[in-house]
Amino acid sequence: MKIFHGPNNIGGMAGTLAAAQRLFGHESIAYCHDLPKFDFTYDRVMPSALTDPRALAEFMRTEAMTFDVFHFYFGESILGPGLHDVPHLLKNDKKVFFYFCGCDVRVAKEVIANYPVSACRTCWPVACSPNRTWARKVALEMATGIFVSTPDLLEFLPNSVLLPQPILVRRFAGRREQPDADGETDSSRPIRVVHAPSNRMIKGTSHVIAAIAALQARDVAVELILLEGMRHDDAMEACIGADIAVDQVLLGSHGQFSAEMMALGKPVICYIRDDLRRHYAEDLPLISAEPETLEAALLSLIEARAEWPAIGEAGRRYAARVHDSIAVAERALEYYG
Amino acid sequence: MRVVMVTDDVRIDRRILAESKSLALHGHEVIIVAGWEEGLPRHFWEGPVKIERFRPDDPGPVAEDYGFSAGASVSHASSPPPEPEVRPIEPPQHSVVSIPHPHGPGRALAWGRESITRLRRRIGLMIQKSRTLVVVTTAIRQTARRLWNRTTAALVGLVRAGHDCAIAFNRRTGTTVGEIGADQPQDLAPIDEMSSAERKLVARLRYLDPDLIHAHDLPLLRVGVHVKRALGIPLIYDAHELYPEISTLTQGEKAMLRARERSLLPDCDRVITVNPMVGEEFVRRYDIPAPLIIQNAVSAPDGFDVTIRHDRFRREFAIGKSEFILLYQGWLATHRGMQKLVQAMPDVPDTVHLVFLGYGNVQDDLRALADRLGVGRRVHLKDAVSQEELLFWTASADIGLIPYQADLDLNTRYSSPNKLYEYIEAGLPMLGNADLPFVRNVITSNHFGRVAVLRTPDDFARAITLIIGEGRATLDRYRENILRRRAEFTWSVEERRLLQAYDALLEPPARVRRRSGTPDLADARQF
Repeated sequence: MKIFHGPNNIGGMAGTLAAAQRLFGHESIAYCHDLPKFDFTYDRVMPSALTDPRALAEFMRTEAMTFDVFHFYFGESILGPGLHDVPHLLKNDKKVFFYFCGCDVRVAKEVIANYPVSACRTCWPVACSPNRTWARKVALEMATGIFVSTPDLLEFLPNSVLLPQPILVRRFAGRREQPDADGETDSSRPIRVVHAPSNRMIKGTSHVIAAIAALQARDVAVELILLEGMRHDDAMEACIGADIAVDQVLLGSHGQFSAEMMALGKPVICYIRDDLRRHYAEDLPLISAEPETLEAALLSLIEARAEWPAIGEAGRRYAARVHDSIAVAERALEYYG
Repeated sequence: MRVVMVTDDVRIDRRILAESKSLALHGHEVIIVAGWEEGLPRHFWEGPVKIERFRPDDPGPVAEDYGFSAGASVSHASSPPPEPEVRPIEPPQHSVVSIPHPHGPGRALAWGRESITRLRRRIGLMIQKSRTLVVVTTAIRQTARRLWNRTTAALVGLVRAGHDCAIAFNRRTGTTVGEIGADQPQDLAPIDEMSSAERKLVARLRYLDPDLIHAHDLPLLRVGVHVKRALGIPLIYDAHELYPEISTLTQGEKAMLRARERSLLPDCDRVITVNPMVGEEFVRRYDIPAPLIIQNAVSAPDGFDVTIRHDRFRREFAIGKSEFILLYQGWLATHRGMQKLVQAMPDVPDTVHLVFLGYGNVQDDLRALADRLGVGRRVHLKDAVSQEELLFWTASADIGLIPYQADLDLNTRYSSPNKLYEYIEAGLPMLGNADLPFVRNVITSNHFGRVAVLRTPDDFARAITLIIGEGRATLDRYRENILRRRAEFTWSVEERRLLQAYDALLEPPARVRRRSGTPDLADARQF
C-alpha cells in the first residue's frame, strides 16, 4: 500500500507515522511543508502552492495519483486549506483520512460556553484555523475516515476515531537509566520543572510561571525550565535533566509533550477534563491539575519525591503501549483497510 | 454564546464597553471589533472583553469561501456511518473504522448525484471558456446596479426630506422618485458592491463565528447584515444617534444614509437606541416597532462614594473654597457651544471658574480666546482622565454644563449626552440648554438643576449668573434631588433591559461553574 502523509507535520507526527508504517512493508511517505523552527523529520518537501505552483500541479497530476491512501493532517490537503483535491482523489478511488489535532477543528465558542477551564477562553487573538468549518464539513461528508489526536475533539467530529499521538519511544530508551542528564544526584539542588509550550496561551504558560513563582515565594526549592522556539531534538535533550514536566493546564486532554515526557520517565502534570477520562486507559499516569490547583499539584509532587520512580516507570509503560509509533502505525493501517 | 460587537470607534465609546462588560459578566463571550490606528495594540483585553482592532490592510485570518459542492460526487457518504465508539486507548484490537461501502443501497442516489455533478462541471467549463465575456458583462451589470442604487437612494432621501424631486427618470415606465421610494425599499447591496475594507471586515467577522452580531451605528450596519445573512444569526442594531442627521454630512450623503438605514432595518432582529425621543423618531421615520431604549447611563467605579465631596479641581487649579466651578466634560468640539461659554465668562461674577475636562482639538483655541477676553485666570483646561477616575473629578465641580447647540442638527437636538448621566452619577447639579428636549426633560422633571435657552454668550452669562445667584443652598437642594433619584439612572437599570433583549434572541448562557478541588495526585500514586 502506498500511503501519503502530510502536508503538515504537526509535532512531527507525519514523519514518525510514515517511518513506522514502512516497517510494516508499506510505501509510506511523509510529504511535508518545511518548518525549520522545530526541525521535525519527514521524507520529502511538499511543493508550495505559493512559491512553486507548477511543481505542485505536476505532483498532483503524476505522483499523487500513485498513492492509495492519503493521511492529511491539520485540516489541509495537497492543495491546501480549500481541500479542492479531496473530491478528485476520492473519485479516483483513493482513500482519504483526516487527522485533526486541535485548533484545526475545535469549535472555540462551544468550548468556552460548556467548559469552565479551557484554552479557548484565554486564547486571544483567536488561533482557530480559518478553514476549520470547511475542513470539518469536507471531512464529515467525504472522508473515508477521520482521526483525532485528542479526545476533546471527538465531540466535534461524530464517528471519528481517537488515534494517539505517535512518538518514537525507542529514541528515549538510551536515556532511561539516567535520572539526570548531567549525572547529578544531588537532591539538594532545586527541583527542575520543564514546560515546553508551542503556544503559551493554549498551554496556559502564564499559570505555570505563576505557580512556580508562588512556590518560590514559599521557599520551595524549584525552578522552571521554559523551552520555546527550539528544535525538537534540542528541546528533548533539554528535558532529560528535568525532574517534573508540565504539559498544559487548560486543554483538558494531553498533548504530545506528555507522551514524550512519559516515555522519558518523568512525572507529568497535565489537565485532563473529567468527562474525557473515559477515553483514556485507566492506568493513564498523568497528574491532572488546572490553573487553580497547579501550585498544590506541583507541591504535592515535589514532596512525594520517593514516588517519582514508580510514576515514571508507569509513564514509560503507558507511552510504550499506547504512543509508540509502531503501535499507532499498525492501528492506522487497520483503519486504512 | 459568542457575541461580536462591531464599531468603527478607535476610542471605544463608553456605552459599547458598558454593554460588552455586562454581557461578558452575564456569561457571554464578547469580542469587540473596533477601529484601528497606528501605535495602538491590535488585540487586548478590557476586563472580561476581548478587543480586536481591525486593519483592512492586514485583517488577520479570515473565513474564505472554498466553494466546491462538498458531498456531491462522493458515493462514500451515501450510507450513514455507525454511532461513534467510545473506548479507552489501548493497543489495536482489530476494531473497524466506519467506511460506508461504495456499492451499498445508496448507489442509485449516488449515480444521480454524480450525473448532476458531471452536468454542473460541463456548464462550469463552458462558463470558463467564455470567461472574458462574463467578466465584462458582470462589470457592466454591477456598475449599472451601483449607479441605480445610489441615484435612487439619494433621490428618495431628498423626497423624504421634503424636496420636490418628482422627476420621471425612467423613460420606459415613467416612474417618479416618490413612487419608487414608497413601495420599493432597496435590498442589501451585494457583497461585491461593498468597499474592499467592508468585504474584509465581513470575512473577518465570519472567521470569528459569532452567535450574535451587534452593530454599533449605521456605518457598520451593512457589514452586520451581511454577516447575519451569511451565518444565519441574530443582528442587533445599536443606533447611538440619528446618524443621517449628523451636521457634517452633505444632503446627498444624508439621503443616501437614510435610504440605507431604511433598507437595512428589516434585517435587524432588535433595534436599540439611546433615548425615547430618538426611538420615536425611528418609528416615525421608518415605520418600525419601537426600538429598545438603553440609555447611556454609567455605574460608579470602585471606591467612589457619591456622598463624599471631592475637591480635585480646587487643588489642581488653586481655586478658592468660596468660588464656583462650572464643568464641561467630554469631547471638546467647536459645535458644542464652548466658545460661547468662554465668551460669557467676562459677564459672570468673578467668583466663577470654568473647567474643560476632556479630549479634542480646540483646547488651544479656547485657551487663546480666554486670554484674549481677559478671563484666562478663570478658564482651565484638563486632559481627559480614565473612566475609573472620571467621576472623582466630576464630583469635584459645583455645576455641570450641557451647552450643546440644538440648531446644529436633529441628532444634537435629541441627544442624551454621556455627561448627563455622569453628572447624575457624581451627584453634580446641572445647567442645561433648554433647546435640548431630552436634557430639559430629565433636568426639570427631576429638579436636578436649571435649564435655560443657551444660544448666545449673553444667554450663557444670564443663566450662569442666575444659577450662581441662587446660592449654595439651592445647589445643595439640586444635589439632594439627584441623590434621591440617582439609582434610576445607573447602568444597572439599563443592563437589565439589555440582558433581557439578549435572552430573547439567544439561549441564556449556561452558567459554567468553576470547580474547586484538590489535584488528583492519587491518580499517579496508585503505581
